Amino acid sequence: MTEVHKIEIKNLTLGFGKGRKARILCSGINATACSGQVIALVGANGKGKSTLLKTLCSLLPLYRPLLPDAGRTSVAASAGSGATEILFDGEPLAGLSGNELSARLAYVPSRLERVEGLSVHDMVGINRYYKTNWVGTLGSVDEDAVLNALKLVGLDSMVDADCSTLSDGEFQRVAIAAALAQESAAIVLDEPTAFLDIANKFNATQLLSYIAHQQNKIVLFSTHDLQHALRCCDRIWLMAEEGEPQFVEGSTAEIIESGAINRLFSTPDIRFNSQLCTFERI
Amino acid sequence: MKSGATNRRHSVAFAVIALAAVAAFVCSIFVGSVFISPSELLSSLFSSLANGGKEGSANDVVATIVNFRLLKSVTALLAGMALGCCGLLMQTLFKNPLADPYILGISSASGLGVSLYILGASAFGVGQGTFIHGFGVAGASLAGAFLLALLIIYVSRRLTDNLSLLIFGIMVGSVASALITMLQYLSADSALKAYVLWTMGSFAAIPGSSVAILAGMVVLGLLMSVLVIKDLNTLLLGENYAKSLGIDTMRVKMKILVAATLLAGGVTAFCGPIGFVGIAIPHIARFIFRNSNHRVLLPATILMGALVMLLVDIIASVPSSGVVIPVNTVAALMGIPVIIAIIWKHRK
Repeated sequence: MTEVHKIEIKNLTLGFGKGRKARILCSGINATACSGQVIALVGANGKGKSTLLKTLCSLLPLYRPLLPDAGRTSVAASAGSGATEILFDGEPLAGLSGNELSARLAYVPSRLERVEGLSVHDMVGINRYYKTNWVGTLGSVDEDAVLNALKLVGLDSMVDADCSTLSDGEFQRVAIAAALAQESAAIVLDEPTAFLDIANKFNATQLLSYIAHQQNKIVLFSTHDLQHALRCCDRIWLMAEEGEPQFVEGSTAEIIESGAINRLFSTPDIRFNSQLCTFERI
Repeated sequence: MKSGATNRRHSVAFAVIALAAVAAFVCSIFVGSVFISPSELLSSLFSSLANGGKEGSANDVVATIVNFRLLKSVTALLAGMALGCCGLLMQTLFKNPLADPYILGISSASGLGVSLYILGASAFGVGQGTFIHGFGVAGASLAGAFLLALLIIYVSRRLTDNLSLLIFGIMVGSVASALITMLQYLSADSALKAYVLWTMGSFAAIPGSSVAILAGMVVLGLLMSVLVIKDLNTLLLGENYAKSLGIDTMRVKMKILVAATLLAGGVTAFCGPIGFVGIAIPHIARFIFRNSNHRVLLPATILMGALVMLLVDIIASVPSSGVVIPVNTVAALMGIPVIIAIIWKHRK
């Protein structure tokens, strides 16, 4: 797959509620992601990382805050001006059919429930939804896609295993395999390493890097572990807790240079040491 | 690419259950609370087939009973398939292993319709005719179920969270039950007994035309369920997962709700509210086939439902004793141990 794709987020605001009860999580989000890149979305907990990823994947509608001025509605102006939109290769994602959406983005949620009685093969096969027949039987093309995906994550020997018998690390890999079997241009993962031990975290990250670089996909994942992100990613999308701008994106080096990382947390006595690439107490 | 062994095991299991269901069907015609010798029964069947049912008086009683049992068995078969399938739909939609076909209040809404018809008429001093298993009861029951379905469908567009929808359904069911109790309090003894008998469930005394209507509803409901097998599988992993695949989960929910209303509403209308087996049958199917993939589980549940309900019918007829046990009693005694086994298995 040597096609190059690009995701562009323009002037996105994350929040919920209307009028007086509106709560803005983050505004002025402008970002791009291209094929072949591993991007980490970093931010403190509760700052809207999941919301951003879900909005990108059309699980949440685009938030358009309405100001409570008498009778008129206007979109809250943020750092830039212009309409909020999310584009895939220049085309808005809104209004695409399910089939078209699934060809562009695959979403791996943070905590997938294991289903007893569902085999790894069947679980990965579910993501072939638009390619299989009316009852979901996998054709030979689908079977190949499933098997290749499992081979990529190193689980082809467990194709008939019951999902409920897998370890956390293995199950996370099956979830990634399912997204791979979808054969989409981009894979978006919500905290994929949050519940994994160190070895599995390392393996998962290696895998995501491989998928982005060797399979030429866009890989975007959220994490609250900054050090981990800095070590393995090409680009960082950072949601700061304080200061302006709230949302910063760039290559790993740019982000470190800009000092934006210091604004990641609003705790005054913690500082980011760019030499050691770690946080320290002042 | 399931292993060959699993596929073979599934095929064998399907074949065995299908055969058992056919055997049970035949058995339920041959046995009943009135003893008829197999030879008499067979000769009656053949002669009525040969002469179009215009044989002499000696065979009339037998012919009537055979006709009665045939309709009863077909009803039990349809009810089993419908309730099993509906139970599975509810369990998958709400990700709740203890969901039953009536979880959204269908049996209460149907019951309210029926009680308004039976008890309401008596409470307002209107004389009652012989409507115990008449078309009127079925019609009132269906009206209740469909009104509830409309309400649930309307509400589910606003209460998009499944848990909220579930609670709403349960509350509506409770309101209906409260109203039924009030009607019971106000009505005459005979009407009360008629209503209570309805709640006990029965496959009998349903005329052929009603069985045809029931068959139509059940077949339609089963067809709709089969058409959403792929969506049911994605729902196994959660509604968000289904949405992330670009699936219109609202439309899927609508299809499931309509299918459930046809299946559970139809059975309740003609047989009364038959409980417990709707929860138990999907679990029995899961236990035998060890597969949550609906491509296997749905047909397995439908087949198992047919078998189980035919067994319930046979036992309820208490062969050759002249006595009949209410269907709901037998269903409860068969279903409850399965439910306890589920809870036991899921204990931490």
